[in-house]
Amino acid sequence: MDQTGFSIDGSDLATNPEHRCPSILLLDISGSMQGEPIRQLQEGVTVYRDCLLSDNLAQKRVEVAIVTFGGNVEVIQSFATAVSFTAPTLTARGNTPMGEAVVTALRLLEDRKLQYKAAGIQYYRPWVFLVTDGGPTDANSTHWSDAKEMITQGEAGKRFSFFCVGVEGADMERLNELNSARQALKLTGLEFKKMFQWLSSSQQSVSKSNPGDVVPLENPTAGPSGWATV
Amino acid sequence: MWAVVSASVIGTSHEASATICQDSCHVLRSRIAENDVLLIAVSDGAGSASHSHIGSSESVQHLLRVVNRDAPELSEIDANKVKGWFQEVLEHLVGVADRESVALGDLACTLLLAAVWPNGAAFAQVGDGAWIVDKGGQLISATWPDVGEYANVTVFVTTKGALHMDEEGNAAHLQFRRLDGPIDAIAGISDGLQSLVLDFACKCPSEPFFRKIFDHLRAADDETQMIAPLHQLLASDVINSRTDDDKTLVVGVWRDTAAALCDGTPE
Repeated sequence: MDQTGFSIDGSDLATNPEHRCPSILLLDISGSMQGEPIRQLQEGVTVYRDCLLSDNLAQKRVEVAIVTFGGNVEVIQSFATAVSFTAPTLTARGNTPMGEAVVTALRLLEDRKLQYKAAGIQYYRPWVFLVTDGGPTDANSTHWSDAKEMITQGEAGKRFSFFCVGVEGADMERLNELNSARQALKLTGLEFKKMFQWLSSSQQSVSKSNPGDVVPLENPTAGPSGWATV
Repeated sequence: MWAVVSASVIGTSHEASATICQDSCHVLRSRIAENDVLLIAVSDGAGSASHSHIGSSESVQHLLRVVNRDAPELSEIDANKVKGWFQEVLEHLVGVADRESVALGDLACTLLLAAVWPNGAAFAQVGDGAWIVDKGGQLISATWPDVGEYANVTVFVTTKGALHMDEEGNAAHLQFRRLDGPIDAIAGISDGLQSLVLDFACKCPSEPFFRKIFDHLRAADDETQMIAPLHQLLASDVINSRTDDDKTLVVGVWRDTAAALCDGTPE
């Protein structure tokens, strides 16, 4: 009977690396975030990691990097899946070099894409998620104009999706200037937890999708799970 | 002569959402310029397109109808000729969209064509999926998935510019490949299987998978007995644990019947 079927086992199949969904958190940890905002933000990042971990595919596919800006710009977490990153301790300090942070993050992203391509790894459109409670202190530098240019080009070429989220006190006008292609979202209160749950669940849907699928995102400004206004 | 079996099986994610299988496959044994020519078409309807199951089935049927009708000299089958055939499919889809009162994009689907004759073969494709052949014992990927930059993005026949070719005949998305010399076995896959049976790092087919599949079909006395097993394979846990998408596999092996008849006893 064995001869009359198509019998294969798992070891006959190709072992391709998992597809990846790169995600960069671009977090404002400047002095004004001191106190409750930074505490809530930090908790939100932990929730994000836990949500990703709870999903079979997302835990293997979503790769998170964290870039902070407060006084200086720092890559405090290079790309890693949820299993291999621990939510960092965030300490509020200094001014808000937002433009420089954006440039750093987008370069990090391009490097990662090159690594994927070299290794034959397929990937989904990257996400960049900027969270701030203020405005750039480097708006008069070339960093700021470079950042705007990189985002404009990147959004137009679908090289990534760039979300700006303003916490109470954020200069929303500046954020909409930074990314004119996608309206900035205003965080309701300190709903970082809901925000990161949304991000995780959106990325879970995307990381399951097959060629030709359109993945509708849930509206972050509506319903009980809403966490923002525009 | 060719022994061919094919199956398209719904993916678990589509089963869960109660949609239907959007993959289609069509096989036609044609006689072209005094040659027996095996024609196979495979199409994968886009998950995001509401009527892509109609798009894929209309595309595979129409494509083979057109090739069979056109029946060119085998030496004339080139990228331009194939482009014309795909163009006719696209025009046909425009009519189908009209008939079904849907937008052309609602019929979005990939399209793969193989034409195999005694001393050569031609392969063409727009979008994902691949053709794999056994040629003198060597496994070759005749075409490769056009995956686009992102894992969930591909090109469809209905995509604007999908069939575009510049003045020098370089196509952006329409792949074309001719192979000279006899083909011993052929397999076509839709994208649901591609990350399971193709190795993207070395850009080569999974040897054990295709060798087993070809050998199993060669070992069968009657290929119609292999249709149910092919369905079983595509619906098996081994496959479904690695993909939740619709998947098509068409397998053909060449059987030298004349030699078998003369000799009587296989060596």
